Parts: sequence; structure tokens; C-alpha cells
Amino acid sequence: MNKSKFGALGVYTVLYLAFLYIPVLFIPLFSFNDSIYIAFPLKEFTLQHYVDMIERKPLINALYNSLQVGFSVSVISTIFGMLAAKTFTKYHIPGTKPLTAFISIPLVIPLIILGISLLTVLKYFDIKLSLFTVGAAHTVICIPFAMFVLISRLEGFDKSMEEAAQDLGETPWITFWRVTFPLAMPGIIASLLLCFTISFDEFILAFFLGSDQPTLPLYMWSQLRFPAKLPSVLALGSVIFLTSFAVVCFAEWVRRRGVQTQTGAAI
Amino acid sequence: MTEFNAKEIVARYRSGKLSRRELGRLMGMLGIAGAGSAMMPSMTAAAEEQAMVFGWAGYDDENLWPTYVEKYGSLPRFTFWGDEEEGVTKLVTGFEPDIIFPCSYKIPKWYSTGRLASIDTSRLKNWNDILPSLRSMPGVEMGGNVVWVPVDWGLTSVVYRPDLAPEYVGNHSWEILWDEKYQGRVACFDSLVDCVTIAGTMAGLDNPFDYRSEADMEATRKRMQTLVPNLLYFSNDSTSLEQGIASGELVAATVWNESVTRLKAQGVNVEYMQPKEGGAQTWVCGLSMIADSKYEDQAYELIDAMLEPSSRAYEIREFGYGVSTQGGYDLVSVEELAELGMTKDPDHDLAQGTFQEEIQNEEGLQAMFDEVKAGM
Amino acid sequence: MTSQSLTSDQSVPSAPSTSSGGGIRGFFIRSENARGYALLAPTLILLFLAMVIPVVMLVARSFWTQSGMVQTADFSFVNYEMFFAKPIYWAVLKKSLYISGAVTIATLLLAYPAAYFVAFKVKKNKLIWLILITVPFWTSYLLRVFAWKLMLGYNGVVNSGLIGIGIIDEPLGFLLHNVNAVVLTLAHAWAAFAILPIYVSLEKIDKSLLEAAADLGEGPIRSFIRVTLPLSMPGVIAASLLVFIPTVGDYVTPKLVGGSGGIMIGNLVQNMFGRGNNWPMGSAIAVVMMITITLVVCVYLWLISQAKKRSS
Repeated sequence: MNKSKFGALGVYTVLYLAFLYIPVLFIPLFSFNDSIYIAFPLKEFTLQHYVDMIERKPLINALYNSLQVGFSVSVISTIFGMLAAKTFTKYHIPGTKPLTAFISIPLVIPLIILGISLLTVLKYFDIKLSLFTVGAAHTVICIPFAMFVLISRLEGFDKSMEEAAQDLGETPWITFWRVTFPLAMPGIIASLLLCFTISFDEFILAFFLGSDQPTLPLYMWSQLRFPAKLPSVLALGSVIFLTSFAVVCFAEWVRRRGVQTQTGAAI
Repeated sequence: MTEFNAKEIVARYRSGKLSRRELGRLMGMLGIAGAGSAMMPSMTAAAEEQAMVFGWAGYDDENLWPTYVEKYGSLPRFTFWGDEEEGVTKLVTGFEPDIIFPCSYKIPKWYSTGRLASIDTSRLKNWNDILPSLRSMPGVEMGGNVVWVPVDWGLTSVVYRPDLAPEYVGNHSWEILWDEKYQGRVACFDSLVDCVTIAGTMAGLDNPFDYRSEADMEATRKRMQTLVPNLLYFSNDSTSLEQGIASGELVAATVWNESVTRLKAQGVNVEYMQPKEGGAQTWVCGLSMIADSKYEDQAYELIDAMLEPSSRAYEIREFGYGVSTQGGYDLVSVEELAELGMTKDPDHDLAQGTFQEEIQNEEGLQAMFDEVKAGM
Repeated sequence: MTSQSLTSDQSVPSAPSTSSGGGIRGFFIRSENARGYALLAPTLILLFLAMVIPVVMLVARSFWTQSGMVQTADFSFVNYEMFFAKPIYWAVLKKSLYISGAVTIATLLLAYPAAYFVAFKVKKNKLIWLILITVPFWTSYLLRVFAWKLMLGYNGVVNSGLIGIGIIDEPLGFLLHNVNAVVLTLAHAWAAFAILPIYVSLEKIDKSLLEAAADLGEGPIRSFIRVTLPLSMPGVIAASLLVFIPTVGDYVTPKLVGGSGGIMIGNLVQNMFGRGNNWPMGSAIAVVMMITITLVVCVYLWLISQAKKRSS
């Protein structure tokens, strides 16, 4: 493809990223604005909202709770999603369609109904509500996401590599670990990112299945009654956003330095 | 399995040689760390042996439960609902808090879950400090037992911008929500009790909380059918409504009285209406105990703590709400109260508005509300 | 670290062979199906435990009736009759399907070129691009909705800008609090759910196929339609399902930016479990919604398989 085409697509992608980022950039902007209302015109610059944020223990605890749940959910549902995706793409077992449909049920079922029903079940077995029950419910709704992403990665892959490994006498487990896993890597990363995002934003299941440790979105929704508390939430949103951004850049910097010092051997 | 070595992993990562094995291990560690710490009780959460309060956000403030915090050294446990309806649903499904924070118009619904305990008022030292008018209001006693202790009250009415709608200065009316001049510049609570009943009032119902008659329902529906297209949106959060008013997107909106205090404090030119059609609406919220609570003694101590004069005075000053006890008013000066739009005589203030009652035929009203929203 | 660096190390070392002997183990290795089921078992068991009771309860309850707070567990079709007798339910469900359809198409069309760019034009650091695409979504959804209100609101960025350069005198009211705003907000919110699956399926396409097409003298557009697009279909299908299915039942976005008439089928379900005091009716609405979504998805997948057959 010629150069001008590359340019057009590149420009488009940058514009698209702008579409994704521009609304979000208002969050840090207003976190420095000396008003409890998020509205134009801007007032004076302040760091007060950040001071409030640090002093608001429940807010920080809620973030911590959400991170715990998010990390666990993304890893665990990706593992389960991987097992399912591998099955459906490698073996043409009878009942593939109904089984895929069954695993997709959490996508279709209204979350309030899932929340109420799961709470009834937990109550029946006398299981205490905690972050663990919230995480379990999030895992259930994330599995179909993980599975679909991984199916789209694994579908149509050349089976010869796996077969070669098995011909060489590898156990299925070693074959999986040495062949399938690396092939699936981009899908695994995509799945981790998506599952984390879902868990980090979900609040209906978190409400019904959680107890006195609210996750971040749940806490934020309940605080909407108090506009004075929104700015410190904005400050926290900015910190999360800028930290993730900084971590990505830092990781990239570390990698580049590594590449340079090793005279580009790795990539 | 070899030891997990972060340094080595970083080094490998830098060289671009991080293998899938290490990456897998890293993922595993993250997952186990996350899941493990999620299973462990959070160190920051209040101790397990404390009662749990299930209610509105914002009440997790030590100043509101002074004697309890003094005795136990920390706040009780809290679980918040975003909306009282969700709270009922969660309780019906089997959630087990010790104390809940319902409002007057929902008491019958909470009571019908069969989970409310009867309260022995002799165990509440501050019971007699509650204003007699509130102590005897509907909802306090159900089935011959005290099941609910009023603690605070506030108003629902329209806040408007006198600079944008000058013709309503001195002419307070709910009619502003229907005013075509302000089409798309007004908003209402997404609520039956805080919005649809206003349409009932404007439709001329004798009791805007009773929708058992077909004629009343249809009259209100007609009013709603002209209200919905005139509104910019329905919202349940004070934050959105206040922001709309502050930015000038909205000329008028229904809000609770505390919003007016906040808007004024932020320098926004606003006025709170005392509509000529029946006045503002008044709501009262309070505490109820859940039957068979494991922490019954603590539940009593919590209710008593919230009735302490210092707690009630704190709520007047910090939240801008009216409160239920004489002791609370005694600690706040006339000037402070005037600034919040209140007087030393809570009964006088309460008598200004219409008490929000339980809605009769709530199901039917909700169905009508949904239909009108859907354009039918 | 690029995905390539992760996938490049594909040499298969010759570890000591393990015998694939008899017994149960042999059975597993011989029987493809048994191995498939065994691999699927953990996921299936987990979902079975988590989902069977909720689904059974949902379906059973949809045949019950409720009066006040009391639900009666008798069997009746009254809720389903009501669903089709009253115009509101079907109308709102149809509207929700249209909105989700529009959101899905918009999200896919917007995301595909970006995913294509990252998969084919970015040579290094693809992981960084993926994370860059996801980072905006780690700020809470609620905050992002407030941000959209700032952009599109009465005196928001767009209106102020347009007034500033003199294109309009009065702020435009139609930017926010209507169906368009719902579609736009959702297309933004679900962007990552479209880009990532499309990217992962584009990324695996063997570049030599594209080169072969080019060598055969096919233009870039023809080779895209004949080679790239069909090969990326698994990602497109996954993305469309992951965006379409959950957005049909969304009830938060219409509430926040949908305006006074912003109501979708999810709001009706939600209300039935709250002020509507009718859990059975809410369950019936949910069942009809789930069946309808399933039918729509089946038709969609059937159409795609037909298209595939015709092209091959």
C-alpha cells in the first residue's frame, strides 16, 4: 500500500483516539476547578479536591475494593473463557451451538434479575455477602466476553503447529503452554482488559451481592445525592486515568531502554 | 515452581524476553493476590461485631452517631442504597442489616416485608425529645407497635433562577414546569412521590397520593402528557439537577431543600418556591430496626445516638435538613436557622407543606408514568 | 513488548515423550469429543452453578402473579398476555433493538479502521496501543457521562464553540437528552469492546496472503474485500454480539442522557422490580426480551453464514 493511504488511516486513528479521549480529559480539567459544580465557565484553580480525596477514606477504600475485584475477575474469567474458547475452536463436539448459547446467557439476562436470583441462592446456602461474592458474580458475566474475544483469536488458526507438537510426543498440557498460549496472547490481553473494564464499572451486581465494602462505582452512585462530594470523585478519576497513562508510558520507556542497551536484540 | 522474582521479571521484560511462562506466572500472582485479598476481611472496614446500617449515603459521619462512637470507638458498618426501592428489593431478597433508614411514604412498603422489629421506646433515652407532632405521625406505629423513629425531614419543591424567569418572582407555582416558554429548560425528579404527585396536585386531586380512582389517574395522566415533552429530563440525583440550574441549562427543577442552600453558597442566583397550589411537599425519614437482629442492643444505642441533640444540631447545620427533636433545635441559633430557610418553630415549618404519604395504587401510577414516558 | 515478541517464540522443543497408553487416559486421548468436553467442563460447571437457578427462577416467576408485596406461585400466562396486550412493552422493546442496532453499527464502523491500523500499520508496541485504547474506560462510566454532558450540554464545549465562531446564536438543544445522545454515548462507552476483538482477529491474518493478493494484481480495496474482511469476520461477529446484546438491556444511559422520554426495555424491567411492585411481570418482560435478542442474533448469524457460502 502506498504512503498516502497509510497517512489517511493513521490520521483517522488519531481522530478516533481523540473521540475516545476528549470527553475523558474534562475529568482532570474540572478536578482543578474551584467549584462543586461541573459546569462552564471555569472558576479558580484549586488542589482542594485532591486534598479532600486523600482525606476521604471510604472513597480510597472503595477504589481498593474495586481494584481487588477487577484484577481477580479479569484473570479468573479469562482462564475460564480460554478453556471454553479452546474447546469450541479445536474440538467440534456435538452440541457446540447450544453450549455456546448457554455460556452467553449472562450477556442477555438483565443484571438486576441476576443479582436478585444470586442473592436468593447465596441466602439459601447461608453464604455471607462480601467482595468475594461480588467478584464471583462479575466472573460469571465476564466469561462470555472473554470467550468471544478468545474465539475470535483462536478460530481458523493453523492446527498444524499443535499437531506437530503432539506428534513430537508432547502432552496436551505442554502443547497448550508452548503453542496455544503464545498464539492466543493478544486475545488474552484483550480479554484481561475488557473484563477488568466491565468489573470496574459494574454496580448492580455489586449492590445486590456486596455488603459493607462498596466497590468504586457503587460508592460513586450513592454519593450523587451530595454534589459537594463529586469533585473529589473527579480527582480520583483523574488520578486513575493519569496513573494508568503514566504506567503505560513508563513501561514503554523501560522497554525501549532495554532494547537500546541490548542493541535491539530482542524485538 | 521457582520463586517468583519481580526483579528478574522486570529485567526480562526490559530485554523483551519475558516468556509466556513468566507472564503467566505474573498473571497468576495478580489473580491470586487479588482474589486472596478480596477474601480476607478488609482491614479498614469496621469490626465484624458491629451492627450494620442500611440506608442513604452520607450518614457515615461520626458526628451523627456521637454516643455510639464514644462507646465503641468507631462507626457501625454501613451499606448504602442508591435508591430506596433498591433497598426494599435487597431486603426482600434476604439481606440482613440491623438498622434501615426509610422515609415516611415508604414505611408501609417496608413494613409489608415483615422484617421490621417493634421498637421498645422505653429503651430510647431520647424518645421523648422527639417533637410530639412527629412522634404521632403516620408510619411511626404500624399494627399497634412502634416500628419507625423519625430523625430528619426536608422539602421537595421547585428551585428556579429569578434572573431567567423573573415573572415567577412573588408568583410561586408548580406551573413553571409546564410553562412552554421554558420548554426543554425544566427538570423533575424521576420519582412518583417527588414528581408525578405534583401532576396530581395540578390535576386538582383532593389527595395527590391516592390513585385508586380511574378518574384521578386519567386526570393526572393528561397532566403528565403535557409535562413530559416540556421537561429536559427526569433525574434522581441532586448533582445533575443542581448542575443544570448552576450552568443555566435549567431554569427550574424540583429539588430537595438542601440543594438550595448549596446553590446559594456557590453564589448561584436561585429562589426556592412555596407553590401557591398546596405548598412544598414535606418528607420525613427515620430509623427502623430489623427483626431478630443479632445486635439489638447496639441498634437501640444507634437510634439513641442519632437522636442526641448534638447529632441533630450537626445535621441541621451540615445537611440543611429539619430534624425531629427539640434538643437539636435548641442548639442552633435563630440566625443560623433563618439562613437555612427555617425557624425555631419546626411545627410551623412543617405545616407549610403537604406531607408525603404512602402512594395508593403505586403499581398503576408507575405503569402510567412509564407509558407517558414512552410517548403513550 | 509487542504481541509479536510474545508469539515469535514458537519453536517446539522435544520434551521427553509421555506414553499415551490405555485406561481412562487413553480414552481421553483417543476420543476427541471426550477431550473437548473435559476441557469445557470447568467453565460449564461454574456457569451451571451460577446460572441455572437464576434462569429457572426467572422463567418460573414469569408465570406467577403479584399483588402488593405478595407473590403467588400459581401458573398463569397473564403477564405474557399483558406484554402483548399493552402497546408499551413491544414498542419499547422495538425501540431498544433499534437503538442497540444503531449503536452496534456505529461502533463497528468507527472501530474497524482503527483496529486495522493497529493490526497492520503499527509495527511495534501494539500492546501499548491496545492499552491506550482502553485507558479512557478506566475512569468511571458515571464520570464519562458527566463529561459528555459538558461537551454537548446547553452551554457546553460544542455550543460555546459554535457560538464563539458565530455559526449559531442560541445554544443547540438537540445535542443532548435525546436518542442521538444515547447512541453517541453508548458508541463511545463500548468502543473498546469493538476494537479489541476486531484487532485480535485482524492481527492473526497471515500477511503473506495479503501480499499474494497484491501480487495477483488485486487493488487494495478488492484485496480488502476478498481477503482481509472475510478473514477478520470472527472478530467482527464477536464485536457485534458483545456490543449489541448487552446494550439492548441497558437502562443507565437512557436515564442519564436520554431526556424525559428516554426509556428502554431495561428501565421497564428495573421499574417492575421497584416501584412497579410486579416482579413476575418484570420477569416476563425479561424473558421476552431475552428470546427476542436470541432470535435477532440467530438471524444475524444465519445471514452471515449465507453470505459466506455465496462468496466461497
